[in-house]
Amino acid sequence: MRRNALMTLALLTWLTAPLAAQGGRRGGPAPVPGANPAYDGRYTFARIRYEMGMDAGFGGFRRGRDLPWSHDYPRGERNFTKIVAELTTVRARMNESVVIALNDPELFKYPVAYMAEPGYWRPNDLEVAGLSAYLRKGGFIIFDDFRGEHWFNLEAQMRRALPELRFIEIDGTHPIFDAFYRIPQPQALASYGEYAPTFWAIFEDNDPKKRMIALANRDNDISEYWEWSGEGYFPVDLTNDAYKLGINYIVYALSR
Amino acid sequence: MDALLTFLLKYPSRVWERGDVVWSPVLPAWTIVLAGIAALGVTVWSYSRVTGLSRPHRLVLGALRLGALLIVVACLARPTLVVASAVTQRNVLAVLLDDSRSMALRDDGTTSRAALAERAFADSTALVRALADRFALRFYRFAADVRPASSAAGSRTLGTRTDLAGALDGARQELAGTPLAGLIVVTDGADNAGRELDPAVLALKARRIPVYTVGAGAERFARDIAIERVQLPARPLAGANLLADVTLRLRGVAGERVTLTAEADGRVVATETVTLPARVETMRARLRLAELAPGTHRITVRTPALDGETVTENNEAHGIVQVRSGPDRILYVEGEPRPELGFVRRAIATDSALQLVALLRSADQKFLRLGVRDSLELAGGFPTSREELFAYRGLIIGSIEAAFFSPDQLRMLAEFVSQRGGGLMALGGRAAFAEGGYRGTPVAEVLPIALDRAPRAEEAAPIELRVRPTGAGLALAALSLGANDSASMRKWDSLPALTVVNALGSLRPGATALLTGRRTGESVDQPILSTQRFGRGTATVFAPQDSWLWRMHADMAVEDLTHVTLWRQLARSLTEESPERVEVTVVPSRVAPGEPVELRVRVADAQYLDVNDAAVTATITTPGGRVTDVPLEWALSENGVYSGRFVAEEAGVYSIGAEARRGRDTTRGPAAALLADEQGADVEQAELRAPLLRRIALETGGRYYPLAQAERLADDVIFTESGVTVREALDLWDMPIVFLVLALLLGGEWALRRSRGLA
Repeated sequence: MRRNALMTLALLTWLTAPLAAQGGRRGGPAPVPGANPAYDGRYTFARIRYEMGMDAGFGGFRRGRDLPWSHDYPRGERNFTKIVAELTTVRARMNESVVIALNDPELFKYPVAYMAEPGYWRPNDLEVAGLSAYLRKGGFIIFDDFRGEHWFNLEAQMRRALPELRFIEIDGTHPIFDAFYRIPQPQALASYGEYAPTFWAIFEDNDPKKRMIALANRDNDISEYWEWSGEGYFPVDLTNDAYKLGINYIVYALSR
Repeated sequence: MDALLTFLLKYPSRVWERGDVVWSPVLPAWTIVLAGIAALGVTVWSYSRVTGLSRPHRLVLGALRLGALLIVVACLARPTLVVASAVTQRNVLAVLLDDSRSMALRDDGTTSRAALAERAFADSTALVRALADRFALRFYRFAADVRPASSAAGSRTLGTRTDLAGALDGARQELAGTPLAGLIVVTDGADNAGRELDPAVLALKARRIPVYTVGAGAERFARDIAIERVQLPARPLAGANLLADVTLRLRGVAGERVTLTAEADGRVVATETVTLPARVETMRARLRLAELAPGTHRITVRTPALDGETVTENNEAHGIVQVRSGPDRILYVEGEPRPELGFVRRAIATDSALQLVALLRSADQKFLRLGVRDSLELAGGFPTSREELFAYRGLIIGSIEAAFFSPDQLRMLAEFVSQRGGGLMALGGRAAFAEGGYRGTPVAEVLPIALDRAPRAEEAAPIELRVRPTGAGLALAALSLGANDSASMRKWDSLPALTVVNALGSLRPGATALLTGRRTGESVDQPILSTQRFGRGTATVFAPQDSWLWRMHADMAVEDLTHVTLWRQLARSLTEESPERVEVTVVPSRVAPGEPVELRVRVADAQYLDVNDAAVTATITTPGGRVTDVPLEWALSENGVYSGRFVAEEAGVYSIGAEARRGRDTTRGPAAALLADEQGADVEQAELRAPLLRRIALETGGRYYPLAQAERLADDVIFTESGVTVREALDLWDMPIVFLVLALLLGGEWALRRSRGLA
């Protein structure tokens, strides 16, 4: 196990080294995404871009130098998709990802989406309708990188999109934690010291035996590990666990 | 005209048709040659001495004289017509009378065909008396089988099936030991037994037994609508989109509107009003039947009788549908986690009659099994034995390269289609088809598309195509997306474009394109969904990599379940014709009570190889619930096929199952259904089929007669080469035409000579 972890670290350090020097950090300048690549059928990391509503009215999040939706962009997804392509048979697009709004029709070509910092998410009605249609048709969304009372905003916004559905807490026995890696203790990976991470999901018909359509890494930030995996800031085992969770999410979402 | 020819030629044309002209000279041949030369010499000598004639006149007169002399010389050679004819009262002549339901039709509104036939062949008629003077007559009645009768009288016209080939074979075999001079077949030609006629005709031809066909009925009705055929899916799965394909034959009813009704066990399950087109003799209509519960259902399709319709018995047709409860199991092997897998799984999961088992290779040598029955299923990855693979009825291959499979597994995939008879569907993807290295593999041989183009590069942009059904596709229940064809086509046209990443070759000969795709701004269509029979099964190619866009695309409404419907239907079509290890077939599937039925059971082992050493028993459950076992015997002519017969005495629906025992292994097959009743059948094609009867007569050396001219048979049937015959030599020198020509030649010469002052 230890040997595997070291090999994985060595692999991702090598793979992600070129990214170490690019991208923004919290408090740094807001990233400016380029044009999205054209759809080609391969798995493409889709990051949801959103407006922050009133938060922006007070000078923006951290005075406009940081946009919460972009946390860990682009290093997080670039590192992650390289690992996905390397370790699994998912035909993942590397070095490219899309940044997209919930009311963008192109979103429907990417059935797995990722949203960072949903605590700051204040969608307008069009975005709510877009997300609702996306999930009801078969899309899957991952919420990550938030803690504390931000959960209540996420719950409230999701109630707008899917009024009849609710978040249900899941543990390591759920098939998503066995989709690729066997992860019996997913909560072992923690990002915020004072918060114990938990996993919450929305299912079709509120039935945990049915398809999962949204997953929230509550009080956790797995993309933080992806972002810095090439820098050695975090212990190898924790970084590995973050990648494992992400890979399981993707394999699950693409096969169920 | 016939009488004049017979007078001039001395014998009727039928004698000339059957006879051979030979020469029987009264003098040695050399003397006749000398006589001919002498005639030529005399003519030349006599006219060369005549003076005062122009050269043309001399030539004409010489030719007339020479012609007359040569006719005399030819008569010395004694031309003779040799014909074989039956020796009086030494031969048997069989008269076969059609006794099926169609013979009860009254073409003129008053007298049935059977009654007319009885009248024409009654013992008291001149025809039968003349025949009886020369032959020992044997009468037979035929419908589904052939039975002896004492005379033409007493037809029942109850047979729901006319087996013309069986009747010819049956009569020939029954009279095999007798000097059979010929067969007279009195019928309307409405053969609906489905047997090939050619072998029966060839067998008669080989024995030189002429068949004289006598056609009863009208060749064309003035005003009639007939339900000629109703095609139903044989054994659909419960919940299937059931289409009844109805073929209507139209006579003089253009422009009228009729309502077709389909009933299942007496309950109306579909109605459709159609306008009958002009200048069309047959048309097809499709009825979408309401969902039927698992079990056997009797389907009746009917249309109301029109005013003044010639025949109303053919306004309804019957059939049987056996709805299976399933579930049918399909294996989907996918090489990469991708949305196509997830969305197809979700679509098929909504269908309780289907079970999709997915084997997803998520990493090298790592598999995710979804929908497995137990922990052992596919535990070792893709099946390595035929027994394991052939347990599935359908197989879907996703984006997974050929190198993933061992050479034997690739052969197994091909044999899944050719030998097991399963349905294989290959999906598009970056590791599929030529891009996946399938060229030259056994799988490539099975596919309906040739992999003859260079593979596209991994990074090549996908090709966007708008998809539409072809004519063949639109007629297919699996591709039906609306309540009728036009609604279905509108739906297809509204679907968003899909993408293809493979270089697809041309359609193989014999394959059918069901969906085609076209790039925006282009006019060339390429096959997107195509299929072909291969061996016992079917192989299909579905080229897009992302049919899931028909669910997810922004243009598709949340409530739109086109993708779900389509994939359910496609998956069902994949397994619909996959056989079981023990398959029961009843031939025909519909009879009249009292008629015999042939049972055929195909038995295969777990590898779907034919088994010839099993003990096979058919279990027949009658409509009354009585159970009878019928032991079947291996039909030596066909591997794995066991056959037997039974007579369906009761009216109603029979259930016929089968069990094959081989050592300790006992395998049961699903029951087949048989409908025994007296309604409807045999009148679908009620018009007299004279061309068919003419062909039978022509090929066997007989002749065709309309029933009204049957009396001409009496003179014709004596000339036969079958049975006890005598060869007669008939002189031709004394034909009136000989003397007439001679007189004309000599008279012409005399008249010309006289006009020139020579006589």
